[in-house]
Amino acid sequence: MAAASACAGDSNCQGSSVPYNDISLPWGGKFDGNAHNWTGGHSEHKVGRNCDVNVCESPWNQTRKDSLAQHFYDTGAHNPYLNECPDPAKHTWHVTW
Amino acid sequence: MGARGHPHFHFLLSLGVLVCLKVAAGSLPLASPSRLPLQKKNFELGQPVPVSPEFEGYDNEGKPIYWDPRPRVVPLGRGRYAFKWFGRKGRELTLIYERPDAVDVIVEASVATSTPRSISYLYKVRVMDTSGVPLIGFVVQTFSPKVKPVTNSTTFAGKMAGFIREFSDGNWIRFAPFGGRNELPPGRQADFALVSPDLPGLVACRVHGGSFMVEGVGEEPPTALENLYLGHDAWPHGYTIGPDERLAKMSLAARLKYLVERLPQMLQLGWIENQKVMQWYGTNLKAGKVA
Repeated sequence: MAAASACAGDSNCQGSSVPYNDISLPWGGKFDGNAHNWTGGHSEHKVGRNCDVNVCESPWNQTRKDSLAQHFYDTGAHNPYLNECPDPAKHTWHVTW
Repeated sequence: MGARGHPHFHFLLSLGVLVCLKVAAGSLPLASPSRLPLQKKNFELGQPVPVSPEFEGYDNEGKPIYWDPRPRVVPLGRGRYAFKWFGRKGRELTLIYERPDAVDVIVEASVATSTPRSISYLYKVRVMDTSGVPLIGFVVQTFSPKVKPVTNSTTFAGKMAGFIREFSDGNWIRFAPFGGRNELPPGRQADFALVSPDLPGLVACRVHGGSFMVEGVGEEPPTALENLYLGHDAWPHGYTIGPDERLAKMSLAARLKYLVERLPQMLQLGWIENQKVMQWYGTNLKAGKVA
């Protein structure tokens, strides 16, 4: 959230939105409000330190994506990694704080 | 040699105490100072502590599903590691992790005053050939709310979040190579700059290295492996100069005291050649030989 907020103040980031998903509550569980139907593979997303950023579904150009990733570092993220999706044409970033 | 001809005169100016030594001291043996690379704590990165079986989720009947990833780490040398585990489909997966502290860096700073209310700070950040990984960020501490980083198409600048313990004291600015791979490889140098009305003081700095983006493998690694990621306390640490609004509020005597107190640290950092030169500064500053 802090990274998204920082990015919102960066002219490189302004424009259309980027979807964030599979963020968990710090005490566990997704924000989907249906904790007993958690069938996804996001085992890490249960301790409140991870989220996925669906950059390839967004119309952002590379400069915007790079800016957002830089803001993740500013807020304490570790090196994000790509290509979590089975479809290699639709990369996401998996970000861990 | 007069103070203005003495190379240390510039050094003092660059520290921003805005004093200069009077022409009083005798000549000193002048050797080139040798800056130290930023220092590391060399945290050990061992084998993962199993969080096994890891909780995967719930099946359609609400029963918990567990998964045993059998994680392990294989050192590859030069700060690189293969994080291995068995994925949810039973296939062994490998992610390459690069330590943020596997980068060797020397920082050289200078200041220039364009107007009395605008001081430019330039940081030459050199990634040494010995680095195992590229640089992806340089963070400099300031004690000034009035800091304007200089950015362009190849330089990113942002503010480090103050809720991170290592960056909670002061206003830390993070610079990064921008565009392309967003990385600065070994053997290369980047120039980062900021402008502030505040005088230069002794501040801390940190760097971090590795891959800007890690190539994934279709699944996220298990908790046991992500628990191994080194924290910000592992980022190589050093000192440089940066804007400090507190200096302007000090009397001349207090500024001299500020400087004298930091002379041993400057000697240790390689900014002063030797003990004799440090003593020369100490003697003259304490005597108030300033103009």
